[in-house]
Amino acid sequence: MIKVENLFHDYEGKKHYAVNDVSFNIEKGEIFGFLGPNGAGKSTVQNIMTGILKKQQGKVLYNNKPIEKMGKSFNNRIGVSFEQPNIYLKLTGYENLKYFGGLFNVRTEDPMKLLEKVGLKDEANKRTANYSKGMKQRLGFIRSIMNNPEILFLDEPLAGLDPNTASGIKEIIKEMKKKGVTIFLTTHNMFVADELCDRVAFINEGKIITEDNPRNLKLKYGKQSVKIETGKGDDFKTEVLFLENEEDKEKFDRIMKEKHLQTIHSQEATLEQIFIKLTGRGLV
Amino acid sequence: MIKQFLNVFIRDWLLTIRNGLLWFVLIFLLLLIIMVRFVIPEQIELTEEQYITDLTEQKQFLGFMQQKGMSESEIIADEETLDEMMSKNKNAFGIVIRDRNERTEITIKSHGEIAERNINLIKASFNSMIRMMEGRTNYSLIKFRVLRENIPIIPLNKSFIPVFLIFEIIVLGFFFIAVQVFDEKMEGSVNTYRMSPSGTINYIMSKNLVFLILGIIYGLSFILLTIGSGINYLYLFILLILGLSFMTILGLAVAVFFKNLSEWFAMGMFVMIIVMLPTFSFMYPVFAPPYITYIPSYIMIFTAREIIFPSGNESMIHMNLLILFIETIIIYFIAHILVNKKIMKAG
Ligand SMILES: Nc1ncnc2c1ncn2[C@@H]1O[C@H](COP(=O)(O)OP(=O)(O)O)[C@@H](O)[C@H]1O
Ligand SMILES: [Mg+2]
Repeated sequence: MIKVENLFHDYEGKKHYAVNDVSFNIEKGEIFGFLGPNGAGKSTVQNIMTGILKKQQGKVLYNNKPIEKMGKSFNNRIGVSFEQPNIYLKLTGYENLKYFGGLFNVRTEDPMKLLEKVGLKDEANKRTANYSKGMKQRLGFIRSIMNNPEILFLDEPLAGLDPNTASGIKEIIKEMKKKGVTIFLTTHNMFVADELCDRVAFINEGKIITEDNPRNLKLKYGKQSVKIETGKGDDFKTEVLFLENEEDKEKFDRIMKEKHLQTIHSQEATLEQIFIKLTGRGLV
Repeated sequence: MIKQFLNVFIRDWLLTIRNGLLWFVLIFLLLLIIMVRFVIPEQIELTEEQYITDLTEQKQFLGFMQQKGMSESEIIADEETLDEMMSKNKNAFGIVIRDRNERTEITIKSHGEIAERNINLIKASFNSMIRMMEGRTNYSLIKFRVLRENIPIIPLNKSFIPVFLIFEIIVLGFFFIAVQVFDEKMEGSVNTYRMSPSGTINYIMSKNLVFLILGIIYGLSFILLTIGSGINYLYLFILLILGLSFMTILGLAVAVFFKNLSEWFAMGMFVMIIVMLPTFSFMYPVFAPPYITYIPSYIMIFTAREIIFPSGNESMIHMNLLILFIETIIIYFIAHILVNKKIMKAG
């Protein structure tokens, strides 16, 4: 349904690519995730896909129609939540939704119901300048689903939320998926990617490293990994070693000889561990 | 389409009236009204002074005027003395009457510009005077005093009104829209608008309408409270619509290039000073560089004066309003292209 081909983006025109030859497909109704650390180029890709950022090189196709031909009415069909809440601070939460919903040519949800969904009903009539960061973010999120979009873009939808609120938002995202909404989601949190995404692409320094179903990724890269605890008493260290990796294998053999081993579990690697393995860096 | 526009408009309206700056403008307006009504004197005392030299052979005007009660001190024997007197009293003006080619020529001398209206008054007074001297009119009906009472230039306090009015248009239009655009850029809310199906036209016209309404309320109440009735409010209304539209849309076209007020400041101030230049030209007619008439606020201020202090030159009002209309259309197209490029898309 959505095709991105050989996308490049260079903000400053100095051949320093924030997005470097990125290609991927998103099928209708799936949640496709971008997992990568800060500065990897996730938001840049989303902004090009939503048309907010002018595309420089490459293709973005919706049912084979290029983004630049979509026109303003395309915005009736998509919902976008940004990394920043991007709300009007002089307006109340209710007003923010009301005067955004009013811009669409399609049916929109009742602002009050939406606010209730994310626990903002009691603050509906307060100016958002007085909202906490989390409240602003929830408002920015809920705004993105007002127009019952076919395609939803969520840039770090759960970043900085407390676990309770985060799980509420996750439920809404799952609900949207059930309704058949196609979702593009970026995150630097492996748990989010693992739990929500049908497919996830690892992105680092503007490039996609690998892309698959989270389970397949873990099977593919994490099959022969062991989690070991070494040390004495309470003073121990946890490490994950990929045994098909020469370096890790040597380390494992060394530890076995030195006998400081406390526990050893064969285990599935987490997405972050795989990310580290593939890129040499962590997600934060 | 209408529904979309109304939504954008109500949003912009709320954003604007929740901005403290608006109160600042209201207070400023009150100050201006107080200044015009109570602080600046109606006239500088000497304005009434006039010197008359009658160089005609028969000195018939002089005799007539003396007979009608003109004071001796105002009657000057020759033109050089009159010039000398006038150079001592910058607010006086002089009238020289002489024969030339069998006709009577009347020259009016003044330091500043005399409104056409006043020139017309002087002409009318002389006409009636001549008719009286020829015995064609009943003396008792038209007194010479009429000439003196009507001649004084527009009362000093009120002569500032067109300047203040245009000043208000510039600040409300040019400056306030910039403030709003920077708010939207800083809080990122402009990104949200970008993701809606509502586009550039609504974005520009809604902000324009907000400042139009405010500017018209401010402008009309300012004129009502200082001038009162008796002027053509329809013309004033149209002038306010065009002037405010021009300035807000120009303000937008400049603001799109900057992220915040401090980045904007140098350029914004530069443009504001340029559009304020014609007010200097208005207050000090000596300052009239040839390019000044091309600055749209030049037309605004002189049209405002003609509307507020009519000299009977309505065709000038019509012409100027038409020019302003065309200028507004042109600036709209420029702003439309710029907003499309710089506001509707990021970086
Ligand atoms: N407006 C911008 N101007 C210049 N560089 C930018 C801009 N936005 C992002 N970048 C750079 O592009 C790279 C990718 O950024 P971004 O897409 O925001 O990454 P992510 O969303 O994965 O954190 C980073 O190096 C960032 O510094
Ligand atoms: Mg980002």
